[in-house]
Amino acid sequence: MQRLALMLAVALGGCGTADFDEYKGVISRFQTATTQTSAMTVGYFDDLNDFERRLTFAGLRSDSGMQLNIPQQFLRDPFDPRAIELRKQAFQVILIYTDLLAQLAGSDAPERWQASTQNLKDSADGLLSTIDKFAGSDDPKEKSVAKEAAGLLEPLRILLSFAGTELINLKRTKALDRAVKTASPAIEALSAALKRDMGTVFAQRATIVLDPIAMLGVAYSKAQDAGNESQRLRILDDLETALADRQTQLAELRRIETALDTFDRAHGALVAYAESDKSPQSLSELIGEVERYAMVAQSAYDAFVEARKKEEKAES
Amino acid sequence: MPESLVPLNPVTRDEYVAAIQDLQIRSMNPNTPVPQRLALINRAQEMRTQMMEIEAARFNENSSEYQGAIETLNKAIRGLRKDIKEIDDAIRILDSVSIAFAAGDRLLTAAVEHFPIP
Repeated sequence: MQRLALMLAVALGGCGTADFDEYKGVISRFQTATTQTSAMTVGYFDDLNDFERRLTFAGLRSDSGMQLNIPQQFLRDPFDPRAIELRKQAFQVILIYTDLLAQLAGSDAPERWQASTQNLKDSADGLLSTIDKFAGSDDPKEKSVAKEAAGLLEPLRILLSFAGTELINLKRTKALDRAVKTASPAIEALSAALKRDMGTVFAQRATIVLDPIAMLGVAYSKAQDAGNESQRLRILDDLETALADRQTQLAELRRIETALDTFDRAHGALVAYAESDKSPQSLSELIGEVERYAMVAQSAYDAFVEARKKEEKAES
Repeated sequence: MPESLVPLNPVTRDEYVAAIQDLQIRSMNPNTPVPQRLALINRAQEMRTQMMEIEAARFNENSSEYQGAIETLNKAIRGLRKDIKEIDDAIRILDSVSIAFAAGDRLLTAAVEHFPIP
C-alpha cells in the first residue's frame, strides 16, 4: 500500500487544478456555442419541403397561367422526411455528447470527493486513536487488538494524504481525453456532411432571392413605359423591401456557415489538446479557438433570434 | 460573373447556382426587351427546379453516411456516461468505507469489552 501511495504522488505531479478549471470553462463555452449553432441550422433542415411549397403558392398567385398540379406540387416531399430526421438526429447526438463533456468537466465531483475523503480521514483517525489507546494500555486484550489492526491502517493514512481533488481531476481529464479522441472522427464526418447539406439550403434560398427582384425590374420598366408614375413608385418601394430581405437572408445563411466553420476549428483544437502534453501553450491555443467559435456562434444566434422575433411580429 | 465563366450545362450545385443567378441578373438589363427578360426569368426558374430535384435526390441518398458516424458518437457517449458513473461510484465507496471505519471503531471497543481474546 505504501508503494501505491508513492506511485500516486508521482502520477499527480503534472496535474494542476487551475489548468483544469480553465479546461472546464472551455468545454462549457464549446457546449453553449454548439447548442446555438444547432438551433439555427436544424430549423432550416425542417423547412426544406415547406419552403418549396410556399414558393409554389407564390408562383401560382403571381402567374395566372401556371398550372395547378396538387399531387406533384403539394402532396409529395422532395426531401425525404426520414433523411431530414437523420440530420436532426446528428445534431441531437452532437449536443448530447457536448452536454456530457460539460457535465463531466463541470461536475461538483471534486467538492464531493474532498468532503468524502475528509470524512474518511476523520473516521480512520478515530479508529487509529482507539488503536493507539489500546496499544498504550496495560490490558493484554487491548494490546492484542492494537497489534493486529495497526499494520493495516497506517499505510491507508499515507494514501489518504494524497486523495485530494487532484486525483479526481486527473481521472476527469483522462475521461475527457478518451471521449474526445473516440468521438473525433465521427464529429468530423458529421460536420462535413452537415456543411454539405447546409450548402443545399444555401442553394435553395440563394437562387430564389433574386427572382422577385428580377420580376420587379420588369414591372418597373412596364410602369415606366406606360407613364404610370404611382405604379412606378409603388414598385420602387417593393424593390427596396425585396433588396433588404435578400441582404438579411443571405447574411443569416453566411453567419451560420461561418459558425459551422469555426465549430470545426474549435473541435480540432479540442482534439489537439486531448492529444497534447497539456502545457500552458496548448491550453492557450485551445482557449483562443473556442473563444472565437463562441463569439461567432453567439453573434449569429443573437441575429437569428432577432430575425425570428421580427418575422413573428410581421405575421401577427 | 462574366458570361464566359457561367457554365452552359451546369453539373455541380455551384455551377447551377451561378447559372441561375446569371440568368436572373441578365433579366434585369433595362435595355433587353421585356419578353426576353421574362423568358430569362422563366429559364432561371426551370433550371432551379432541375437543380432542386438533383439536390433532393442527393440529400436522400447520402443519409447512410450519417448512420455510421452517429453510432461512433453514441459509443463515445456511452463511454462518457460510464466514466461519470465510475467517478460517482468512487465517491460512494469512500463514503461506505468511512461508515465501515466508524463501525470498526465501535466494534473494536465492543470486542475488547465483551469477547475473550484467544
